Amino acid sequence: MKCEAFDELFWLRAYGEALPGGEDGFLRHVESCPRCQARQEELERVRALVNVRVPCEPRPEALETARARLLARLQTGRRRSPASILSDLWDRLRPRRTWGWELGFAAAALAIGLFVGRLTLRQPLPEIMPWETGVDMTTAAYVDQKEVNRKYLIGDLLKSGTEVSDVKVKPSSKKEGHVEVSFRAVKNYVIEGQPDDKVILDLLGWAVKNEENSGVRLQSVEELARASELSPKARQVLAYALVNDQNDGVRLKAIEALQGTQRDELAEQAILNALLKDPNPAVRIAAIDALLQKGPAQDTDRILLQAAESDSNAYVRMQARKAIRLSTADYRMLEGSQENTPSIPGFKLDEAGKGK
Amino acid sequence: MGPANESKSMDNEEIQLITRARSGDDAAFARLVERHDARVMSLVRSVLGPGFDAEEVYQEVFLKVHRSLPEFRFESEFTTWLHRVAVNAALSRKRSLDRRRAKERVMDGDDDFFQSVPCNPWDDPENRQLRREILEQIERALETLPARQRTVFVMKHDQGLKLKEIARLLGIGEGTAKAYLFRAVETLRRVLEPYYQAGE
Repeated sequence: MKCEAFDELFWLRAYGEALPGGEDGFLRHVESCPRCQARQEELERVRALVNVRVPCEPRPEALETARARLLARLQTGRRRSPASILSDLWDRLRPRRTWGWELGFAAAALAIGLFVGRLTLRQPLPEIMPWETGVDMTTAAYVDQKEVNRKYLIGDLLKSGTEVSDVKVKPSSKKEGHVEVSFRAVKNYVIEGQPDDKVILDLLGWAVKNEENSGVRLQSVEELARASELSPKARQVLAYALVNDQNDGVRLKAIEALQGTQRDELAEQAILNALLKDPNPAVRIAAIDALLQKGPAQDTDRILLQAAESDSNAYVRMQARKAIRLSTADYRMLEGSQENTPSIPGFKLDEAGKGK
Repeated sequence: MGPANESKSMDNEEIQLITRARSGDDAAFARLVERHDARVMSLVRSVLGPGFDAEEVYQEVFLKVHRSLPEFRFESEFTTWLHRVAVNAALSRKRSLDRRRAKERVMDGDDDFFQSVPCNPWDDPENRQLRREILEQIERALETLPARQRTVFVMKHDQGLKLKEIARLLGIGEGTAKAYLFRAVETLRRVLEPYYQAGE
């Protein structure tokens, strides 16, 4: 072994690597070489200093939260284009059994030929949102349950995109000599618009409430959040999703959308509710972030304190405590001194301004 | 290639979990994550250094693994593959973040996500200030190293990986990995010289 190679061999040995030439050769050389002995002492001191850097292990509760976020994202991982979402939305409204185009044309021809009486389509209007009233659903092409203009109907049937099914023919019960033809016709629609466009907003709201596919609900929430400024209706939809949606990812996306936006009382209540009741710690942490953005408020602090004391997840408790510290610091800035800081029952500041 | 060619060190449960996860079983994937994520997070944190959001990379790594799992051919150990994805993602994130921001402080005293390994002798209150100063010097020095050199060092020093494994994960020769490690510790030696000389 040559003295010039000592440093490299020292570090290889220190880090548990096999030495070229073997350990014995190295040790024999050091024993017989005063220069390398001195160097070894020096490098041992360096090593002790470098070992100040100890590896960090993630906190178990933080890992748990990261996992929850990851799984929530996986659950809603299958994303589709907005067009396909709206298309699927309409697919869900149409009957399961479809008979195809040929039958549609045949039914239309039959309808024309026989001059039947009134044709009525009987599908219930889908419920939109509980707070939606007076929505003009005809603009969203919900033409069901209306007496349809016959010319309009036939013209529509002849256009592409309409599927006809369940054709039934029987003698008319209303007028002798007439025949009654009933059938079901469903047309696919594609509607384009900004997320804050009224019709689009209604449809997205409908999807958030009713759609079974969580991916569609998630994307609907995302599209709502894309609006430059959330309308009160969009905030209501997001608040609804935050409180009611079964999917962690959708709730997480909803609360993220509500962060940093002007919030009304409904949205605020939904966020507070999420902090105290949401089963997913990632959502509860997002709620803390959202509350912090709002700035200091005593009602918020009380909820944060409750979370800091009683949340089942240690990481959430820690974040809540941190949020209280930040909130208290905000008070100081607002009021100019610690004396004016509103007291939060059960929470005290130490000299460094840290909460206990 | 199929499971018949899998590495012998992968246990049966792991193979089953991978197979189930590949066919869309999210519960199996969750179990896989649980088995490996502490190590991945620690690895990512080491490569990124303090002050970066390791969880973002954690999410990115496992989402990518989830997407790419159908392409996993059992030709290497799952952990090797996973760690390679993690290291590449962390390096890529670090490069892009380094470009975007100058690090004001390399040390973050309020790191909520990580805890130091217990029984650290430097955690004696009297030594804390000195420890912090030395650590800051080390982190600053590491930040000046080329990315791969730094990565080899942290994978060796923090994660205790063998040079052979580090070389495989980074796609470099073992000799290169050894040279990187040596250059990194030599840089640290120079930076720390005032401290260990003062102790003489």
